[in-house]
Amino acid sequence: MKFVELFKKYGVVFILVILFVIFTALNPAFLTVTNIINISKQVAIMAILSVGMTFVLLTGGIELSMGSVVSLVVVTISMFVTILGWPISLAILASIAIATAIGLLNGIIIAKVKVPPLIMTLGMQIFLYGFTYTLCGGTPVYGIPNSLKWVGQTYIFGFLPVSALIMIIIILIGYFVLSKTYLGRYFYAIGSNEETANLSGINSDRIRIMAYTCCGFLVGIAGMVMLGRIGSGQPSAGEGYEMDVLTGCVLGGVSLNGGKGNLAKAFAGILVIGILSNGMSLAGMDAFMQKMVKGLVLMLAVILDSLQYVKIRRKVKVIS
Amino acid sequence: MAGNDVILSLKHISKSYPGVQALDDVSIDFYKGEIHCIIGENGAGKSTFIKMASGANEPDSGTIEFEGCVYNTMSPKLSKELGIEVVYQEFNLAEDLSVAENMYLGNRLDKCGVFQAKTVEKRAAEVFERIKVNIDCKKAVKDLSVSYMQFVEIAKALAKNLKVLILDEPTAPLTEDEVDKLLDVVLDLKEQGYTIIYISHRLPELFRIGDRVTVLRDGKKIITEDMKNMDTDKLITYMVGRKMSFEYPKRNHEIGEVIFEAQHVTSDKVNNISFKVRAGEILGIGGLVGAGRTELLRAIFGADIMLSGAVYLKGEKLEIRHPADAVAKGMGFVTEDRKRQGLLLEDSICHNISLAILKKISRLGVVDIKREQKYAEKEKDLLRIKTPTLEAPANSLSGGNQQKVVLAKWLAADCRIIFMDEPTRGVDVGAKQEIYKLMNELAEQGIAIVIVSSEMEELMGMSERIMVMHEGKSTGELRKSEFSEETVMQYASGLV
Repeated sequence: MKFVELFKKYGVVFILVILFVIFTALNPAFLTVTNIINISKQVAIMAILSVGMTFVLLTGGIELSMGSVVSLVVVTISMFVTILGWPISLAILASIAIATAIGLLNGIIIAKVKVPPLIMTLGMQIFLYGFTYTLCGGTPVYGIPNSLKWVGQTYIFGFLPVSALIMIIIILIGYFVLSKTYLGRYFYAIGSNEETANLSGINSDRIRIMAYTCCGFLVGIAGMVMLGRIGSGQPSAGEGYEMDVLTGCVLGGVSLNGGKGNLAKAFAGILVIGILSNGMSLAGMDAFMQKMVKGLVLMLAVILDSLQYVKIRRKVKVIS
Repeated sequence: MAGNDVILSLKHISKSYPGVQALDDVSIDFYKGEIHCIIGENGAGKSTFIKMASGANEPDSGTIEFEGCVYNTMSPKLSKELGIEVVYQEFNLAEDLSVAENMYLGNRLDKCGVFQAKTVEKRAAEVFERIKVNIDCKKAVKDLSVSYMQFVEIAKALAKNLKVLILDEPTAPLTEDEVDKLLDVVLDLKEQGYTIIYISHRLPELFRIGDRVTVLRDGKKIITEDMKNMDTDKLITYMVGRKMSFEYPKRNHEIGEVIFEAQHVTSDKVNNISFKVRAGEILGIGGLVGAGRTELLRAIFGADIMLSGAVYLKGEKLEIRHPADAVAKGMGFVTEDRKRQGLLLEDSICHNISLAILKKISRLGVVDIKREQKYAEKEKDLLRIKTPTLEAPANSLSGGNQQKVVLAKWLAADCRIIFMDEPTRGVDVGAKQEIYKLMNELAEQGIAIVIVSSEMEELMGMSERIMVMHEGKSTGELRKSEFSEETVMQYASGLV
């Protein structure tokens, strides 16, 4: 049990170091300034999503529709601008509002109707992918003005991508909410014992809805960053993100049972996933093999999360 | 007693958890066919003892002997094989299955994979005949009363190769006449040659059934003695290590105006109940388990749906749709089950104490951590919660101290009225006294208290008035001068 505890505490850092060593050995291009900046851009979107995912996981829920909402936001911003001719700021605000509303809807149905979050958000995911493809007719929306791409393609001080800066701000705000505000403490409280929380005067339904709504808002921002990076309204943009983000969070020790975890370690988990994807591509692994690895990592993360609830058997000796 | 054959023996058992020496060189012999009581305050090491005997945990040092065989530790499997069974306070039953199915769960009583309901029911009926309990073995467990669930647990143990039965606070959830029945069963089992280890806080029971008693204190064995050489005062002295008279502290303060009023409260389990409480008054609610006492409190507090009725605090009609509304108006609820409804077990003591006031001590949503610390510190000192640090998780505390944390939460919230549901359940004598004193202090400050308790003595000792419930209805209200166990029981049984 000792190893498991130690691993739960520092395991993520340990994995990070190992990945660095392996990938640098496999391809020297891994440890270059260009690639590190590249990784930071890839990680930025996942890290923003991970803040929302952590909020929801802490309350004992799960959010699997975030990838599809990222796709939807990417497509709606593009369409608002190119087809409706809206100003960019309005297009972004409206799209983030849509993402927030989807979070709110998820939250209301999960909290009030008591639909299992896994099924609710999975259903939402399937619906939204269908909806997004229908909306754009299955083809990417092109003709995005360059000013929309600044998020993904501008650097501050010459090296810090704007997307990474947004990520840092969001993580800091998320950290503040979780550790300093009563809302954050309520997330933990209802995740660790909802009955106690309710009887102590915390309206758990409302707090749960808040968690999904905040998550939706952050997914909207991630969508905006995504569009800046890829530069066109791709309906497939967010596909698979929910699982990567979930894997990262759980790997970082945010418990699937709620009530446990923090953003610093969730971020470390996200870094592992980001570096893994990047390194595997550089090492020339094909998409199918990458999928296998990602699946294994998800299972590993969940096994480690569950192990703490499993008791080990002892040896019994008959002395006389 | 069937001679002095030792069946189970703990030799020099020590066990420590981080920060606590739970058992310290404890040796106890259990004779075959005796009823051996174990008592001690919370944190004395009783639960750790059970864990050693049942194999739920292993000792740091020492050995365990069973029928002459010496083991370094038990394991859950081994202890069952040897015939040691534990009936815990929390039942371990599959509620939707029948009595018989529960008893033979895990036993392969099938024919080619087909479950033999008839055989199983017949066998189950035989077991119940042996303990003279009348029960329908086809009934689903969830339709049974708490006391019958307990009998199912005992029967389940009997259905196996039972030799030593450990009962952990078996009478805690029972009402007085159910206790009688249980004690009869226990005595019966002894007649049949089983060894019984009986753990309870309720001293009178121990004198009725116990052959010998072992007192634990702070993880050490203080004494093992024949029950006939003991009396209540001696036992209490051994338990607390100081002389203590068990009396209910007196109050002599003025009782104020009516502060709280419930009118015609009706819910699923509660039928048209009205009562008033004055500032500084302690109102008792009596009744048998299942009479709807907890449900009444839950309905008023917004935890269950109130179908009709109204609630007034200081003359103002309250709209309570959720416990949050009740808390905001200055109501508190010390729940019956502190682990599931009262505490965030893995969270710190400090966070537990501040849970109900977090919003109040926040500015623009940001918790004022200094104020939070101050509140927690103050309540910790007031209630004398024994802990090295407020950062320790709540589950590191003993039962009595956990209960104090729950109380601290409501004291911090500065409540006008506090509902207390079995506030001293599973709490040792010392902590009980402290809780009683605290209730009196609260009453003196003009706070109204409504207490639900299955312990008649406590109910009569603490309350100014007692409202008695029977099957969801109020059957009567008794003034202090009218208190007697017989009267309360008559009302509780619906005889009046």
